[in-house]
Amino acid sequence: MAYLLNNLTKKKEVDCIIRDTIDKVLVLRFGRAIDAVCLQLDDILAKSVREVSRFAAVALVDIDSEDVQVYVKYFDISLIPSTVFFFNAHHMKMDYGTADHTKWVGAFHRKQDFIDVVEAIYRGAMKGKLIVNCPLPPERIPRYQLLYKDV
Amino acid sequence: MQTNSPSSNPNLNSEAPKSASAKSQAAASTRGFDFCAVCRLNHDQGSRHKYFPNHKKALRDYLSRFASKLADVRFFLKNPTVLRPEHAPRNRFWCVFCDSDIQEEDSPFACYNAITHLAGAEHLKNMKHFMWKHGGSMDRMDEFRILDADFTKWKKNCAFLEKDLPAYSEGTRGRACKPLNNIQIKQGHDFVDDFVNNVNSPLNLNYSNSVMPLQCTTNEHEISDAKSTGAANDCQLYNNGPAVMSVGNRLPHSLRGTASSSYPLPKGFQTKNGVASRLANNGSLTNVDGNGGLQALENLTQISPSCGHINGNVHSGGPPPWLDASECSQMDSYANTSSSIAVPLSSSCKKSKKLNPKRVGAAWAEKRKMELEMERRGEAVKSIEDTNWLPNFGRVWQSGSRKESRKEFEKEKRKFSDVEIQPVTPVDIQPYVCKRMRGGGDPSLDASS
Repeated sequence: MAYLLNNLTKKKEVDCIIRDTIDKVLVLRFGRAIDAVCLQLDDILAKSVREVSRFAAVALVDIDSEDVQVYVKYFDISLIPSTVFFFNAHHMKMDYGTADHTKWVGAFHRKQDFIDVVEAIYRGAMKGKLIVNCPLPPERIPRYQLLYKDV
Repeated sequence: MQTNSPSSNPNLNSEAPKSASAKSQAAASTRGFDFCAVCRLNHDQGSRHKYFPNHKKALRDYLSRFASKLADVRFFLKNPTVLRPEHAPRNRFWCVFCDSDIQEEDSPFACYNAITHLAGAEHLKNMKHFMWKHGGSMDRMDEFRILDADFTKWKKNCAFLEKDLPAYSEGTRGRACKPLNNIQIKQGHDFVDDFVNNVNSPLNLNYSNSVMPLQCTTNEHEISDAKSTGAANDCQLYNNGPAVMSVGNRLPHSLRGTASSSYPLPKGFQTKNGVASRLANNGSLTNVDGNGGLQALENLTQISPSCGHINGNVHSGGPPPWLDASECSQMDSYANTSSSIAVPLSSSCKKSKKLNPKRVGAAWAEKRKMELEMERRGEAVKSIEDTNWLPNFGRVWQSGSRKESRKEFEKEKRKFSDVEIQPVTPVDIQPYVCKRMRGGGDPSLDASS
């Protein structure tokens, strides 16, 4: 599925897209193209990228690339796929009711879920909010275990 | 149309304006009409036409267009390439100064005839005439021709290449004589046979048919054995065509080794939805795990920070190995595409008035927009392309401002790099010198001892 979307393997490319996406939500999916859950998420992203194209841009980052390890560490990515949202080069957080507010971990259940999340982030960002509440019901948010740092 | 009256004859009609403006007509008749090839315009302005601003602008565009064509030729001047006969019809070149189409039929190297033409005296003569007629600056002449020094160098390279690769060039030409078979059409008919053949020879993997890669959701071995995954990646194909395995009626057991060769594949074994299938690197078919959908959500893969050094393959967008040299140009093209992703500036200027000035990163957006605008105008904005640039990010366990996040990360990075560097730092081992010897008979030392 990854071949349908913009793939980034270099840190410079990631820098570029974060800087150059202006007044739009940037959705960065960190993962591996052959992973099962990544495939599922990529499918949903690829299908909805056109529908959200007026207010969001989507790009995939390959975590196996040596050059982007700095971002993998900086964004504390320990589970894949992880999706990080940006707006005007500012990180957007969302309260999913899970341990990690900084990124969406796992796949979305359906296309509309993804669109809803991106829209909520866009509306929040336009009002100047750096953190927004997740519009999805808790049963449609994937659960995972997050280990405490350095344990 | 045939029954037109004589009055509607255009020749007769044109008589009326002629008589009306006799003066201008007289001027035109004495001077005569000229066709300007640059403006693509018939004019009666005589030789002063070339000083008109419209002509000057057209000439600038005309020459820059030709220069961009010439850049392609110059590429082959720098890197002489053997021209395959099937590419020869496409390797044509139109010389605007000589008004001639330069064909590359039967030429051994790419742009052979074009380069020879551009270096020739005839071209120079025609170019001089063109510049005189259309008012181009004579000092730009060298831009549109090939200098003798370059030409001789290129000839030497060509001779070297010809000597070095006679077998190669012959081989490519011989191969091209065969008719090209349309794999798109053929594929549909015998992809099942192809698949069976492929399974029969597990070592000779050639998945040119539409086999969707099987996916095993048990990713444990994938992480532990990153190398084997890398090898498996090479034989995967993501395709839109019909796939052979289906999730609905999965094969009852995984086919391994010789068992796979004896397994007959039914004809109508096609999938309806997106299939995740994968061929492991030993050639066996690993079965799809039953828990798709919701259950797969729980099977998130844990990645270790020291995961393997797998470069992206063709699916994950990694650059192919043969493009490594042109990494920079790739970067440039990327930069162009990424700026095109951003909101078009002209429309966003109007829109930004409506946008909330208190939105997230409003100041950043305005600043960046100005920079992009200046870049577009060609003014080299030396925005510091810092390789260590990091976006604003609030980390998971971070409380406080987001700047602290970055500071903390940089501290971590420094600590990490220190740990890496420490074992490398050499420890100076010096022979023991006793205090007395070191003192060199210092009286105070002697007294204290």
